[in-house]
Amino acid sequence: MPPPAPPAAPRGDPAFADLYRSHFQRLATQLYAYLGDHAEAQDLTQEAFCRALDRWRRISAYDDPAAWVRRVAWNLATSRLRRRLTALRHLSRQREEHSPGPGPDRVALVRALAALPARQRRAVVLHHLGHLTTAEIAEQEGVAEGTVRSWLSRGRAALAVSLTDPREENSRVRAAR
Amino acid sequence: MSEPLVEETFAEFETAAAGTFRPAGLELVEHAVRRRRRTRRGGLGALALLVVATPVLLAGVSGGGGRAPALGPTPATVVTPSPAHPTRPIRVPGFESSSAPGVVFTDAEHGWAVVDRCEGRLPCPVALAVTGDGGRTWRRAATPDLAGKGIGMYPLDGQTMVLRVSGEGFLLTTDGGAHFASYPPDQPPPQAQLAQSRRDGREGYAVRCPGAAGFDEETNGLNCATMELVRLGSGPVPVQPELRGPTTGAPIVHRGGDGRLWVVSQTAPGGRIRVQVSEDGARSWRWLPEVYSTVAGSLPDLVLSPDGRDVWLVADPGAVLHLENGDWRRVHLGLDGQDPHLVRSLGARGGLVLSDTRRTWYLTERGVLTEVPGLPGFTDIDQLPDGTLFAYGSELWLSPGAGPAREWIKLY
Repeated sequence: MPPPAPPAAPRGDPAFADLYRSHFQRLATQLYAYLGDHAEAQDLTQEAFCRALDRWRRISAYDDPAAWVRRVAWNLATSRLRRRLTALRHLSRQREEHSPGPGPDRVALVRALAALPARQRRAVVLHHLGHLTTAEIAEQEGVAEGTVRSWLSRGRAALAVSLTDPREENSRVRAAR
Repeated sequence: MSEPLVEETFAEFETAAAGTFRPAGLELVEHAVRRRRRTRRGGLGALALLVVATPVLLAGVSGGGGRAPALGPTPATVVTPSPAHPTRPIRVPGFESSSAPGVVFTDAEHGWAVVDRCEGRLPCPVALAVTGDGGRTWRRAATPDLAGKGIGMYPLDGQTMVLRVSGEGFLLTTDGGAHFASYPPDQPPPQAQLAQSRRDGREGYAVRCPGAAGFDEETNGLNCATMELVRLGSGPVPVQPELRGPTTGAPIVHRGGDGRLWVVSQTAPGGRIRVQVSEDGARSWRWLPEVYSTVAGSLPDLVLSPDGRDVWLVADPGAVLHLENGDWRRVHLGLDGQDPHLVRSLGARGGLVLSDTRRTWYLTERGVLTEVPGLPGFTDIDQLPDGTLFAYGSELWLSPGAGPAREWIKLY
């Protein structure tokens, strides 16, 4: 016989419903920024919450169930990215997007983030979209806090350059004169 | 751009992007988890996501032991123009929803929806709505106050629905939502179990431990040495199928539209799967030839057409087994690395609908594989007793009809 199944989550648990409602979009946005793929971000976030619900009796006892979901979602995203890079499939992917497509500004940021090394990108997204402190990112990534500060510093500097539109910069200079 | 402007860019990004993500309704997440538990799928399970979109090819179809292919051997893909699928947004008069509703359909026409309106007010107002015209119109049911409560839906049909109200008990209506009766948490009305069994394709039956009578028997009542097949409301069936063995999860029971009962179990280690069938109301059982499943950590899905005559077993990623003259014939899907995690019947005339999280295909009885234009992939697809497909993921679609000549209607 298989080992005893863990107890099921109670149906319609209000605490899970609150977590799901309040964190889904925020977490999906983080993964979108990290992966650059809207549909994949949606799917991975959905999967992370499914796993949370499957283990809800245990996870609901944690101090911060949202942190558990975030960690699972990011692990899935990291794993996905690694797999994608290994297969080089991302170069030829032509994914249909079924949600409203990202606007030009969002595309620009996603492109700029994609140019960062993965660990810098993770740190930047976790800090600016996940609103995690450097200490929290260090704990999640298993590195020293100083390392995270370094990633953030370099990542932000690179983004500042990437996101600068020369025409916009010129017009700003002219306006200032 | 200065670093403060980087901060600003992220803030704008967050504001703009967040609204583009639509979580599946909570009811659907619960159903997906329940299905995952039932089949003990490992890894990403019912929400298998590790697939990428690549061109669709139909590989040759081969039978075991060099037998003739069961389906048409000619590889073929059909390209059809992308149609404009009709949409039927869920609007409940007098109650504007602020998020994606939880929706369930019991047939092509009858459905129920839980909608909420969270606009900073707590507890969030919640309403139950019902449709009898395929989602064209919705009306609000006369429930007690549900504000801020976790709701589970167990609909039996367009008239009978059980609501499980978290921490409080159950509400039953048998008149389409006009009146509700209350039940305590430890006494669910029998309609709830029947509704659950119908949605799981085991209409009126359950596998559980002797003496277990709890509501969530498929997850809470399976930790015993020997399980039994019961008919809900009347107890163990006359002759028990073989339910012991080194199973990967509890045996799965199905009841076809023709009344036949099917039990899928793992009777030996190493992925050896046996299917038993009863054609006389569980008075006798017949074993079908053993098959091997490479689906790790789970039992393969058995897929029946609505009339129960067309039988498939999803035993391998990228392949299905078709029951023909009492034997299984292997049908390779040849999707070039993609493994559709969802396989459902296309209807009484045979064939399958396949889906991963990106795309959806038809495999017709003639062996033609067609990507369904304009359709996404799905987290799960409910096959309703009348053959209607109710598919959900980040979007929600209703598909009445039979075979590949069916309509797909987007609800959200």
